Amino acid sequence: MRMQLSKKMNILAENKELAISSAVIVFCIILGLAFPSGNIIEEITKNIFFFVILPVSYVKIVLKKNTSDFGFNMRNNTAGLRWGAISLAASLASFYLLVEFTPFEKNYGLSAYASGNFWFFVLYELAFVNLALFINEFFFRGFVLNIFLKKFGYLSIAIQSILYISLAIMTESSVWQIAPLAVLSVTGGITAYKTKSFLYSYFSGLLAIIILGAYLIHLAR
Amino acid sequence: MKNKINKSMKGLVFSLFAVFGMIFMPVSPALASLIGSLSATENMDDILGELGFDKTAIQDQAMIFNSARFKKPQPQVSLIFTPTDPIDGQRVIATATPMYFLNDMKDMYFTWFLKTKDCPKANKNGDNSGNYNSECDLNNDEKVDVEDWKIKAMRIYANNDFNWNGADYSSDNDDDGYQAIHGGDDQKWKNNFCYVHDTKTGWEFLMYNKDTQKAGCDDPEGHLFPNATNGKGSDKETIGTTGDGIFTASEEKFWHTSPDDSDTADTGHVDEANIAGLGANEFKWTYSSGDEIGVAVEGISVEPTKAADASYKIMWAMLNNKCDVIHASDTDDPTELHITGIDITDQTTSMTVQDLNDCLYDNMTTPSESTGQAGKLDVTVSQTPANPTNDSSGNGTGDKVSFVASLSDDVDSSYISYGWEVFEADKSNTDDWGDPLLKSEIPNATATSGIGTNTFSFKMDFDDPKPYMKVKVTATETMSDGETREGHDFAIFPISSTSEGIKAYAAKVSDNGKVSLDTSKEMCVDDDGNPISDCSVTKDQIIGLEFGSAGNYDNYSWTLNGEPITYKECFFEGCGGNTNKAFFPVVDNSGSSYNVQLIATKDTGEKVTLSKTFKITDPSLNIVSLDTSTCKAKNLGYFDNYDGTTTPVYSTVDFEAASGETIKLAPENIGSSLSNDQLEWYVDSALVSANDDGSIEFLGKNNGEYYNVSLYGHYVPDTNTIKALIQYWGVSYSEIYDKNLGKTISIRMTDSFSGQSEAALDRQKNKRLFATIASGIPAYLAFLVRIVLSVGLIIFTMRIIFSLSPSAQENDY
Repeated sequence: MRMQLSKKMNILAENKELAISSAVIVFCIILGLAFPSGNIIEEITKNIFFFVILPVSYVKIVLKKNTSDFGFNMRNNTAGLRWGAISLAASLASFYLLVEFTPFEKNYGLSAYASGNFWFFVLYELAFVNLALFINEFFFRGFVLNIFLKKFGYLSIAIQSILYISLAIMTESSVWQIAPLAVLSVTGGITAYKTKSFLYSYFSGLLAIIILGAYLIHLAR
Repeated sequence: MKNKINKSMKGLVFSLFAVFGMIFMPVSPALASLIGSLSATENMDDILGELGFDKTAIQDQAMIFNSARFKKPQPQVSLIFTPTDPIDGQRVIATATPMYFLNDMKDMYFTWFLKTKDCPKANKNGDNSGNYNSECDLNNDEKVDVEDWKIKAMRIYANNDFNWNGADYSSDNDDDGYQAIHGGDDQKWKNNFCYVHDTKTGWEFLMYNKDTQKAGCDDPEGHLFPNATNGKGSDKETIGTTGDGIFTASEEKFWHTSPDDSDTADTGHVDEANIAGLGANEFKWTYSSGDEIGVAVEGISVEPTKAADASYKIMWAMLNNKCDVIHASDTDDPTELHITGIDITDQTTSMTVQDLNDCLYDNMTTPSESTGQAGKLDVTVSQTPANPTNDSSGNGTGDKVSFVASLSDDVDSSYISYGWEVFEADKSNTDDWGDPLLKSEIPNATATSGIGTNTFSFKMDFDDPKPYMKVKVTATETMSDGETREGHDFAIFPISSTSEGIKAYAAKVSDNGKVSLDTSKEMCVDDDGNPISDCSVTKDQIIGLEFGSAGNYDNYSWTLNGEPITYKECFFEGCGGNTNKAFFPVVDNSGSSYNVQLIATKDTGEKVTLSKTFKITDPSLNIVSLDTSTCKAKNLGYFDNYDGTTTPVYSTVDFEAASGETIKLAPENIGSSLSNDQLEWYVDSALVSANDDGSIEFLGKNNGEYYNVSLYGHYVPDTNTIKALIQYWGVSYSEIYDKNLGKTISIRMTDSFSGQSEAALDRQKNKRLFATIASGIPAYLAFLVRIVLSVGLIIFTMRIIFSLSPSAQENDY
């Protein structure tokens, strides 16, 4: 009896980190959606706090670990370049298929400023898209992926991707608007899993998004 | 006794000699003159001449009387269409109106025939064989002719949209045969004498068959009815003869009528009577472009025959009455005939009713031709006002003249293209109006051409217009077949031009009650003297009006809100007669308005119509700066105008002034005419005396300090004005308006006062960004605090939970 109880306690203890981390993930998502913000500055601040600062604080203060253990590293440059290139190619191929065979081109909304002026386009991509992508990559391909990696292995790619797509569907009105990010969540997830770093997936994702934006503007003209 | 015998003998002898002389004795003119003329003709001429009769005139009358019988009108028929201008697919009603027939329409026979565009006259084996269309050959005689057109029309009439395709024609039990009567349904039992009228000579000829010695219409084919036949020549099958009293199932099927309904067309007549066209003066069909229609009406003329019976002339009327009469002989001498037991003497013709049938081709029409609408649109233009006044002063106060083009009801004006042109000339009846004015030459002209532009307007602000103007509208419609038709109309109107308008002044009332204009300050003009549209007046003001100089025009008519301006007594110079001045009191309350209209005319016919509107407002005071380089109202911002320009908006209560500089302020009356001595100035609650012109001056304070400046007044009409209002306009004393007025402003001293130049405003614009940031920082900081606290709370909670939850242990065994 005592042994059984001890076994159960051990199971609980072994999964303590997973359970509490999952709770943190849920809190981050809920607060990221529901915390009141009045304007775009507060919106951005909120995302940074709940999707970057809160996970970092949790890793450092509660888990007493290093953020490099959660993907914030560039240890495997060779693997990173290889898998980054592969995921870039796969992402671009997916985007091409979306443009050619679906009404994605007509329904994807690009900033009017970005479409009309090159420097606005650069600003749009390097400032707004870059920031949003970094936050997404840090939280989902960094924090969430590595939380579930030890326990679920490959399945962690799917878990973080499903989680991300579900969140995007809840926040975006148009399916086509989240389509590129859904593609990146899969390709980026694979890259992050293989390289143990979300930075490679972030860079390849950023490049893919910039190329996609440029291609759509080219088609519109 | 003996004396009486002698006397008798003497009388007898005298009588004998008189008779002998009258009969046998020639009378020479000379002798006649002695004894009097015995020529009846000459006597007659003399007598009538004495009475004043003109022999030539009487002879003329006799000739007219003799030829009158050739002038009588022949039976006619006219058609009207509803709508008059149908389009493809539209239901059209053709209504025939016969004239100069004796019988009622309900008893006449109307034989309609309808020729469609794809069914021209053609003979499969002869003329126009290339256009032969078998679908149009309804009687299968290898010809498309008037018979087919009759069948088509009378089928439509009798069928009445009955679904004949699904009907069972194996039997016919509805007893709908009809026996037609020559000349009309009311001519039973009468002898048939059919006539044709020679339009040129006026003669009417009896149809007579010399061979059969019968009347030309006294046979089975004595009508123009369509018959149910099939085939041609020896193969021709007569399914049924219309009007023979027998209407079989085969005829029902041929005519597409119902075998179960004796009156398929619901006309009140049986089917065969409908085919015969009894009383069928209305024909409805679905119009297609190119349709031609005709009708032949059979009835009796108003003129009786010469037979000694009850008969009248049976005649036919066609649309154009175009039918040449074939004479029986070379002469038109009447022929004595004995027909059906009756003697009749009349001119004859060998024409038969079938000859009339051949005339039907020339007696067809289309809806547009019938109404004269072919190629023509009926346009009328209306204009308001009828006599606009032009303002040549350049102030833009000329009348706006508007034109509306109207079309007949059955034309859809939204698809009509309109073109408007404006001409001017020295005379209204000129033949040469010259070239139209360019749109750029017409002030404020609206669109001059386009589809649906049936209205046009412009302002009468021409610099030097000619006395007459003509506005012409041309409407063009493109028909479904690509053809166009157009119509036009125009309006000519005289132009009254004046460079002067009605000038308004406050009225001055002298001690003796005389009212005059205070011409020192004209009302309702801006600083440049240009009239302004919004003219404010105050209650109990007396407003004086003046137009031009006295004597410029011969007659003046002033009206106020439509009522003539009259005076109980004369209180100003020239009020007794026509005057270029007028006065009226403002007795209504604030918010109301007055509209003054002046019509001034000259004896030469020149006239001008002007108007002016006054808005009644409450009086108020305002304070303005006389020197904007030292003191100016604060700029609240800019108003974006529709034309892209901006207008600065200034405060009326907040001012800024340069510290240490002299501030000059002046009063501004709005809607009142308070004199300066009726106003009081207070600066920081201290009464200050004003200059002669009503302004005040004082030195500015130090930077950052304020002045409060107040201006007070009491608005009430002066005593003389009150007396005038009571005496001349019956205003009661209790109604006299008075109001305390006041205005307070705040002046802030500043060292950096630069007259609020554009540079200063730009600097202000640059500060807005930082101002926005600065104003937003406190809220953002609060947000940051909340979010940090939230994160901290979560971390703290997780830390506690993590610490308290058991760690993984090694296995005991």
